[in-house]
Amino acid sequence: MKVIKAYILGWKTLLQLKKMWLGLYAIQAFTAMLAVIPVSRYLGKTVGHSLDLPNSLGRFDYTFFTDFLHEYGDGFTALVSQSFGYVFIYFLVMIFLMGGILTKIKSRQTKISGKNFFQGGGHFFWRLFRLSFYFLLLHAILFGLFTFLFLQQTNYVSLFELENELVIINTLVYLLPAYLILASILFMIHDITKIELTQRDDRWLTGIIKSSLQKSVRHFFSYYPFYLLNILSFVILTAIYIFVHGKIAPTTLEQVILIFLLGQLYVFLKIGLKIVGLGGLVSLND
Amino acid sequence: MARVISFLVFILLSISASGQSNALSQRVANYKMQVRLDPEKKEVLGHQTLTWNNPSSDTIYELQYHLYYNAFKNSESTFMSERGLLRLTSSLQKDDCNWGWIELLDIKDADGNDLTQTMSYIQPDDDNTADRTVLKVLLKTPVLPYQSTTIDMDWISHIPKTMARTGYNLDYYFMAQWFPKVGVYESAGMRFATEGQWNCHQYHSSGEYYSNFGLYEVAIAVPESYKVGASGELINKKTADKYTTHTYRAHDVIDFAWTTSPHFQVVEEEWNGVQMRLLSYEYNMHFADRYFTATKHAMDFFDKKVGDYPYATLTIVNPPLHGIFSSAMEYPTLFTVIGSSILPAGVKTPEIIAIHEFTHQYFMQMVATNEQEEAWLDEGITNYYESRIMDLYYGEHTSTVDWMGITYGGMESNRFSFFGMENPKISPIASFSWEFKERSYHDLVYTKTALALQTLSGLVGLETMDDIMRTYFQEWKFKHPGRKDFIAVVNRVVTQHHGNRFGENVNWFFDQVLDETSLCDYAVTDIRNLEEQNPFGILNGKEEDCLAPTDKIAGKYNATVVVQRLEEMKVPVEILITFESGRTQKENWDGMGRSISFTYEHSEKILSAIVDPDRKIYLDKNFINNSHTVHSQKTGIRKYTVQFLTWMQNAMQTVSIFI
Repeated sequence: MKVIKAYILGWKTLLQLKKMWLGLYAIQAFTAMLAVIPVSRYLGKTVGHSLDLPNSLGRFDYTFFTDFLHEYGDGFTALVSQSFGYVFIYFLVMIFLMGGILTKIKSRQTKISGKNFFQGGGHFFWRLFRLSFYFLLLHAILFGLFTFLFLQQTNYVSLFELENELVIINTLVYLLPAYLILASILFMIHDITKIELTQRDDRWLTGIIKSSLQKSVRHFFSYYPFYLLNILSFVILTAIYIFVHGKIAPTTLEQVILIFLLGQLYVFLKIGLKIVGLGGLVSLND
Repeated sequence: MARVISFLVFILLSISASGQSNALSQRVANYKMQVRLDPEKKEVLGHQTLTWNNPSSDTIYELQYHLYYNAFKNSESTFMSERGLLRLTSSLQKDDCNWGWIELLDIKDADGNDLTQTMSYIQPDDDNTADRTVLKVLLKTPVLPYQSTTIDMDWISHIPKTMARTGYNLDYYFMAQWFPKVGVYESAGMRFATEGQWNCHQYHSSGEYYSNFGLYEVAIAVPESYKVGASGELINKKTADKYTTHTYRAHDVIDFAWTTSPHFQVVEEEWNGVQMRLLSYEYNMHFADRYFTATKHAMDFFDKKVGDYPYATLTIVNPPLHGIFSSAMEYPTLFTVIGSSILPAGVKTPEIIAIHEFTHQYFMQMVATNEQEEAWLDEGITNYYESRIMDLYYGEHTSTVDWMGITYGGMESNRFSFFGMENPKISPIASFSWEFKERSYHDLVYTKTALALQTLSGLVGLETMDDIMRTYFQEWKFKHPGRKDFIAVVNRVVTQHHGNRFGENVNWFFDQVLDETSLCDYAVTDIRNLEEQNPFGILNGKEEDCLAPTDKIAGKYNATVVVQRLEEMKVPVEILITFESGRTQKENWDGMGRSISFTYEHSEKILSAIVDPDRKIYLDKNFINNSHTVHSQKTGIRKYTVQFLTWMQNAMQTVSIFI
């Protein structure tokens, strides 16, 4: 019941922070547009006057894609590589914004000023940056460990050393769920650590990490089910999006607009789920 | 007269040697073998009696044999040097010394003369004296024109572990190119031979095999728990001393392969009187239906379009995963498939391989071209038919993959492979297999040839193309044609159907495709709709009569389409022009010059133009520039822009989970 209550409180927090939610979406959309505009221009310049373009709309046109990659791929690749730069910029911006998000959620004041929001962002930026780095490292170690176990069990996927593919499948059947569970616990501890950081506001992270670990262990059976509930929400949302998206074959302008709006709604709701998760954890923490 | 008599004697001897009066081929190389597998030592102990019928008017003083297994003896063979040892499963050989080779024990002629003293290893292709894949045996008694000789040989095949196409792993054995096999003697005028010569190349990393037709009778002794699959028909089975001897007979074939394992399960089906057998491990058996269905599609297709399948049996071997080294390969009346058990139904690799390998039963098991010198004649033709049959039965855009929203077909896949090469101009496809540069053999021989044949089909029409292939098969089955034989058939049939429409012959097409490396790219580069205007300026030679420009004449246009040839290959093309009202105009261009323009004085503007509107020229490297429209296709640009935007946003959110 505590878990459900926290989940509902998470959604209430989100609805109280509508402006922030919208603001986060706007920043993300703007950053993405910076990457997309050159791509759109490039498409117009290269394939914009070809009949293959409208002919490719109704289906997955492999020939169109492969001809495009072969003939115009160099320029396209350069633009895609550039867009990874925007992703990295967004990553840094989000670290900054996360400080503000946590400040806002912690205060639970809907009328918190923009100044306080950005002050929070600045105040916590370097610690959140270091925290992200440490947890990224932990994720890499976890992934590396499971990859090593997988390779060990499957003889480094040497086809000549395997009896059959069932060896690979059976190994994945027990390793993959174990990895997903541990990875999700790590993500959960990360979120709890961020909340702990904004509540204690210590300069050094070791004490905060230790404290969040202790809390995670002590309240594991309320934190983790809540976290799983949030993950389930994400999975359901994604499944609905994929299902609806698959029903629309964008061949007309109206259908393209519909696909665009559907995609934006999906992105918007995913941002919301992140806030729901943090809001719920804050209430459990209290 | 003496030669005529000799020739007639040769025919009679061939028939008697074959033991059958309804021979399909000349039966030059006939083998009787008794072999025994030793699973402990990983060896096959063999005895063969070769009855070799001289097919020429030359007197033959030597025989040349392929000892393919010697390519796997050490790192110095031509095969290993060319392939790069590390790319093979070299760790298995390096650690456990599981190399393969042929150990010759005894060679005797019909008079009992010991020929081991006269044998030597030769290297007709390179100076690599470490390569021992070609054995020359000098005969004590030469073989007169159209006469026969009989050679007895005892040998041991040391079976390599997981080598290319052959070997063993755990208790799975696949025996390919495993016995001493006589080369092909080509008389003057045959293929490239200007005089009688042995055509017996070393075993190279690229390229496959070439051998004569004959009758094989092979008695294979294996432990009694082992099941066997082999070329031909099983004619006898006898068990003694914990060994079972399976005797197979294969008539009018160029090779003999076999496989054995105690874990095989066998499923049988029948198609049009042909007994089909699938050998598979239990955990792969659920793929049986996919293999049988695909193979039957191919059998139906060839039966209707090309010719009969003349053998009574067809064996399909589905190797276990650890036997994947033997996958996707063809032998007379037997072929191997992929050895996977988890590919979803939408990933058609099992079907593709089954159809590809069955097609090889026609090209080159029956039309036995030289795979080392003219690989395009078998792999290219086979790839063409594989794509065509797959597209026919499984959908033009779904025959390779139709899974999770991703779809593409056989010919589409060929274009991707060929045009995706780092340098598709690196070698002409007429090269000998070991002459292809930078590992370009596969993509050029398989995919470029398939695209070329698809283009030829587009130019001459499918009906003519089918007639070409049917005629080629019927005239050259059970023989050894070469390029000039194939092109001669093409020229004859095209002329029958189309007269001089493509010139005196279509050599211009093959010269470009086989011997050159040029690419093909036709593009509509511009459309101009200029409003007409009355003439102005000094028109009568007098300055005072200078006319000022007037308004453009409404509703009258000089509409021009410009088509260019951007690459070097030249083929005739069609151009379809669409006007504002929807009216269309078709033009033809011989494709020879660098550009051509078509101008119309009309009341309508041109909206769009497309070169090769029916996509006949599959060798065109860029279909996107084949068309041009006056107005920008905004809906399409927006769709892909929106997709990219959503992808970017999702990528950003994914990385932000680590914050």
